[in-house]
Amino acid sequence: MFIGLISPFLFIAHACTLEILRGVSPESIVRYQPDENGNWHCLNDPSIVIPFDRVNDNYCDCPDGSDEPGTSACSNGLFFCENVGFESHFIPSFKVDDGVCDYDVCCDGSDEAPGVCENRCVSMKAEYEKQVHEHNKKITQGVAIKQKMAEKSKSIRSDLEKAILKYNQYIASTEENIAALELVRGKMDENEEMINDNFKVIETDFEMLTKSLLGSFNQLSGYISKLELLESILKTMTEEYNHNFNDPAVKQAAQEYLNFAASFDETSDDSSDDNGTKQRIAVEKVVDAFQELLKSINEDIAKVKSEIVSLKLEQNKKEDNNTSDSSSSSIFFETWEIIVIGLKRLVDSFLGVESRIVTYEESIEPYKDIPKSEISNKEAEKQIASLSTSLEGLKSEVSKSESELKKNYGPGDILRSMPECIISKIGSYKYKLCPTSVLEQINNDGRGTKIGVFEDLIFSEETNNYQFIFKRGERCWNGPVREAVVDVVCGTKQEVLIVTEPEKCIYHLKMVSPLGCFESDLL
Amino acid sequence: MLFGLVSCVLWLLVWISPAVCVKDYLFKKCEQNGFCNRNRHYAQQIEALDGGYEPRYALDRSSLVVDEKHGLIKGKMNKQLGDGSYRDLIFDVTIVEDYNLRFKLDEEDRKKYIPEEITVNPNRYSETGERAFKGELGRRSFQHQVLDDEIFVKYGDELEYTAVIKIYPFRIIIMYNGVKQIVLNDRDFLNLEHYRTKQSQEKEPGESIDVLPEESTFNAYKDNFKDSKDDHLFLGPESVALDFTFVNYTHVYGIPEHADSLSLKDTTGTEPYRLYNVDIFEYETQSKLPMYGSIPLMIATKPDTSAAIFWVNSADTYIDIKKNDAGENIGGLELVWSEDSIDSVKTHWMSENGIIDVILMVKPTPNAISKAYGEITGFSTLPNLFSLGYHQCRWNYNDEGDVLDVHRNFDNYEIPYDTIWLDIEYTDEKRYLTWNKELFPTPDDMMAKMDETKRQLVMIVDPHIKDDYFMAELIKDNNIAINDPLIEGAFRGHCWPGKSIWIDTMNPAAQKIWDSQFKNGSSLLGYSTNGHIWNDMNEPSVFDGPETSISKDTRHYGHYEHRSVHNIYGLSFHEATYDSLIKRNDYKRPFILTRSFFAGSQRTAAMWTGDNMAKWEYLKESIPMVLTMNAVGFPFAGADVGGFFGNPPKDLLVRWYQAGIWYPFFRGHAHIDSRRREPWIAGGVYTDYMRDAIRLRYRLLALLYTEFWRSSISGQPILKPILWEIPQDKLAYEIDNQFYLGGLLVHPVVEENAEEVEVYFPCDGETYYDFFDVATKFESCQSINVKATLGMIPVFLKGGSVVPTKDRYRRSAQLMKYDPYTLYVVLGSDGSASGKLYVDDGETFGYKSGDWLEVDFVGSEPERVIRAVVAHNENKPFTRSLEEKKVTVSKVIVVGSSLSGELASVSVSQNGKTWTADVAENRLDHAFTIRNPDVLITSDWEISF
Repeated sequence: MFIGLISPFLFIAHACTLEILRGVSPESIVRYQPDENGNWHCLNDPSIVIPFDRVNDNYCDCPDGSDEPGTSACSNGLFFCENVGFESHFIPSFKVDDGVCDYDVCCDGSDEAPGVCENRCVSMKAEYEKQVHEHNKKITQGVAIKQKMAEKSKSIRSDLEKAILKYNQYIASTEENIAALELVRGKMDENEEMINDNFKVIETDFEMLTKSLLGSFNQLSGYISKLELLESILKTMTEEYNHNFNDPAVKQAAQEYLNFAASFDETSDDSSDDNGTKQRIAVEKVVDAFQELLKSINEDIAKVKSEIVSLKLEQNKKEDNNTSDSSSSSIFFETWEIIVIGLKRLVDSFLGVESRIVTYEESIEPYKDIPKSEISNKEAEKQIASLSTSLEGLKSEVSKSESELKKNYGPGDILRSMPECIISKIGSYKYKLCPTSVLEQINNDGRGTKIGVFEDLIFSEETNNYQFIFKRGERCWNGPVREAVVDVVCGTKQEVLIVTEPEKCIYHLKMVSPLGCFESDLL
Repeated sequence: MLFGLVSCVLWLLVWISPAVCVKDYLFKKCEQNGFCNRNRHYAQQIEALDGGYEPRYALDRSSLVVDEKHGLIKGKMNKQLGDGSYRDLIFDVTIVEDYNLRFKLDEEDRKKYIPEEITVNPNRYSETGERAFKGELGRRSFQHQVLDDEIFVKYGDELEYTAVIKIYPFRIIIMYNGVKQIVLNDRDFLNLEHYRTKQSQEKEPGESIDVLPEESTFNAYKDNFKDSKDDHLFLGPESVALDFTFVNYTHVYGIPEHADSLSLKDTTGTEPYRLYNVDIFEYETQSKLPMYGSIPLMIATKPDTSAAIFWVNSADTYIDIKKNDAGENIGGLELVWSEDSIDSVKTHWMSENGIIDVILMVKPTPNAISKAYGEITGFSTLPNLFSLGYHQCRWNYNDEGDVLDVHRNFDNYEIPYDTIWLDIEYTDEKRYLTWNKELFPTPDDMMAKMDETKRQLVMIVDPHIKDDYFMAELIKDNNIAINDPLIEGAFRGHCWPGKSIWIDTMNPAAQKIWDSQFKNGSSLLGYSTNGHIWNDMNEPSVFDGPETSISKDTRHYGHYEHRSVHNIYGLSFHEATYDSLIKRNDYKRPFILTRSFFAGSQRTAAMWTGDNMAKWEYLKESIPMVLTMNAVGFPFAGADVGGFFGNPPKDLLVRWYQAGIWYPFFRGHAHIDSRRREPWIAGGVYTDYMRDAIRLRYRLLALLYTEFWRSSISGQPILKPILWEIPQDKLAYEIDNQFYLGGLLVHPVVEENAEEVEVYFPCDGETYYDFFDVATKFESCQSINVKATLGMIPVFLKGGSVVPTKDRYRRSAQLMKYDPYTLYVVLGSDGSASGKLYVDDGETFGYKSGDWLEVDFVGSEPERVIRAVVAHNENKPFTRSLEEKKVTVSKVIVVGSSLSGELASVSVSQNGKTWTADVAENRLDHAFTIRNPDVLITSDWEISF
């Protein structure tokens, strides 16, 4: 009976307390009780005592903001949104009672006076769960792909290591073969040495010519590209300079460039102003010169040839008739073949190309053990030449593989299994992102601008994710050298999503890739 | 000049900025500008005769018509030509508005002299006033008396004004309370170049009756300035010039826009001040070169009187100033009476064409001049509250994502802001009124997102229209372009989009076309309610034109040449935008920022000082520039915080924010080639200091808005030069590095590495208190070094004032609407204080139908009371909402009291109820705080102690 009477009072008192203590979490509610004198102490500074009715009276008394949990009076206060049915949150007091429904924190709308913001917790929770589901699905799939990528990267590395091992074995055996063949060649007759000596002179001359021609050619193409660069700079300036600057120097330069371009067009037979044409003409000139040279070298060689022939004829006379004409001519042709191989090498080295690309399969083709004592000197020479070529190929393959191994492929080598390049169209540009080499912006005409060269893939604390760093791109007109950071976000595809240029020529990209998927991000 | 050279060289060396220094050779000097050269020559010739000159202008007594009741005197003035014959001019003198004298002079029937093949309007352009004034000016009656050689005109409520109009030599002398103030044509520099033919002009000197011996014919029919050679000058020389002497004055102010000191300088031997609206790229400081806008109002002041000249002419104009400082002439010698023994400021006004139209004002104080000028041209608009918040601009925020990132970052860093701006790159290839849809696919959504926290978006719309899309077609089809002088049709020139045409907003037909682009649902603004417009490049700027503007012989509506309307074209453009926005939403106050302006621009727009640089001297220069704008009735002004060109060092950026919060228009802006510099970029204490500064701005919004309201009904400056507040203090006449905002005295720090600043506490007999530490006080009439390390802003409460603030940080201005107030009641030398608070909804025109609240606060220690008297109308939606939301005063800080320490509580009464409030923080010996008096702001209250 007694209890029955009292409890309604208790209930009412309790309800009143709850109403006063807007913005207090259930855990903290015990700390919001008046003391025996009806006073209350600031939570973090009990020396400050205020009457309990000054809690939530819309006037800030406590430096820690604890006396105003349910109003916006204290700048450092926190307001508890219970968000029944969803997750509870604290919202900073400056967002309380400002007329804005901050649903991202308070889905129940309790940060505003009753009636201002409807409770959206149910629908927001459903939406949230849907998103969580999709998010987790994406992460799970992405992590699996990333796992495979990591494995693939690992196997690429081990393949490379294996290949180096194998190459080194072949190098060893090839070197053995060459050594053996050289022993045979040691018995080469004097005539052949003489012929070789003759050829050495030619070789030296040819090398010199090659060098000087190559030098001129490089110089020329250097000039051509400089000229092109200058022309394109001037052309851009003439077309795009800001008239607002109204700078006579710029105006004059633009005018003179136009005159220059016009006069160039007049003197040139080619009416097109295509730079490529100009360059082609220049290259053709070099090639012409080279052909001229080759002709004269051929004449030299013809002379040598006739010398050899006469030499051989003399020798034949001296020798007994047990060697036939055919053998004499075969000696000649064998010698000629050596000359041809040598020339081919010279020409190749002049042109800067390898006579053939030693492919992996070819290079591992085993060399058969030849009965060396039985082959002729010429045959030995031929084989040595061929083996040397292979040896060079093998060695360069080893060094390529070794440098490939050393190359930066990001943490854990992960980028080894990335696609070579990713191309995405964003706005009016295409972006070509080659993870370990270069980032380019390609305009509608297909002209690419280098935004940067791959510098590193780092784990960014700020975004808690991977970030590519591209630096040393092309310099902007009137601006800095281009550079970019690429933030990676989780996704099952590989593509560039967003490109921004917060400052002139400083780019921020966002790309999706499984690279950005982490199990720790699962919700 | 040296500075210019040095900085140019530096630029080349370090490659930091795309900019070139201002090329002063791009702009005509006086001697290169025909009419200025001729009029300076004219003045020199007359001065050389040293009193022996026989003036050529005389009133024709027989033609006089006087209408006392309608305040009009009109008649003919004769100009004597070379052969002794006369050319008839017509003049009128009227007394307008609050007893100002207006004088107009024109050629009579000019048309009859001008050959028919000339297609330019034969009349001199006389409509500048119609566009600059708020409406037709009211006339005041006067009393008069015509004597043989002069006419006496007495006017004013107590006939305190006398104008003496002399017949020959022609003069008008204005006396106020019997004391001579302004003399018009004091030095006989009056010159109205009447129409003459080229043939007459080119006769041998002395042969032509049209060319007078004191005249020069320099560039009369041609222009040999290298960028102006194509100017046809169809009408030949047609300038107007006149001189005015301010008698017994030493200081003059006004005639913006120049990057110069507040107090105008003597121009003897230097360039005159020029008013010619130009896109002056990277202007130099301390220069008389013209800038983006013009207000031809000059104000002179002395302790008991102020006087002003309002030169109503929109053509290219130069002003020479010659100061006669009697004090200097007297030296130690005995005083001998002569002209030289009187202080005076002699001014010479020269305009390229148009009529002479000038209004002369004399009032007891500079504030009264501000009011009188505002009654003529209109008071500054009461702006949208958001536009007093912080504006974040950059050329450019690149896309929707970028805009929303910036938007969110302000909240993440807990820095309030109200507006983000979009410069030219948001458009489809610089085609204004369109969006680049790839970068901004859903502008409506973006603006709706910003609207959640009441944020606004401002988009740039310029008058140059790319000559390849619908807008250009509309303009050409409707023949509303500025037209070419020779061929039929639009003038074409270069601007941002390349080849462009210019809309002629002087043409009434242009309004309808312009309206169609802003109506609800139109492509730029959609149905948004938080989109606003920035009118830039409206000088107009033409990249390949003379002086980076349009050729002076292009044609406007009415076949007037551009030269006649140049300085007012910018106004016509931003007013057209205003009118369009009003039609779009007639209940909402539009916000428009303009770069070019003229007298009257204050009615519809805010302005900023254009393309400054991220250097200390530009920060320093911004203060006198903004003060000058305040002095001439266009207070809604600011400079780009941080400096437009270049990259400000972090300390400069902090100081600029600390100064910028006081600009009535507070916007950070940056060039496209500069690094990002939003307040959070600098980081650490720098960001903290910027946040503190911006939050202070928001704390003071209630005060600032009240000052805007005050200005909107009285023309008073918002940032007040010291001399505006205290004209009696002659020591303050050249102070332009500090100012008042309401009861606050502010001295922004504009020097690098400053640890302290020298603050001048004016001679007003009041005590000043440090706003951030009211325990520190300063006595008046002294200069004191005050500590001002980075992070500190020197702000002082002036004794006798009440300052309302709102202390709570909110994300934007509108979100503070219902927050409680804190009052600073700063008791003055007589123990009392007073102040005002004006409140309305801050966004609609509801205030025009009475939905406002005005509170007068009075504090008195002798009476031991603080009292609020509230005026408002019943049952208006916004003021009622203030009641419903129970907006209160939650804190009162009483400063300058001798009762501190004695009080434990005070008695509060409102609406018939009485309660007590505690006194807190009463440890200081002259200040105490009343804790939460909890009085509603919407009705009278009283606190007694």
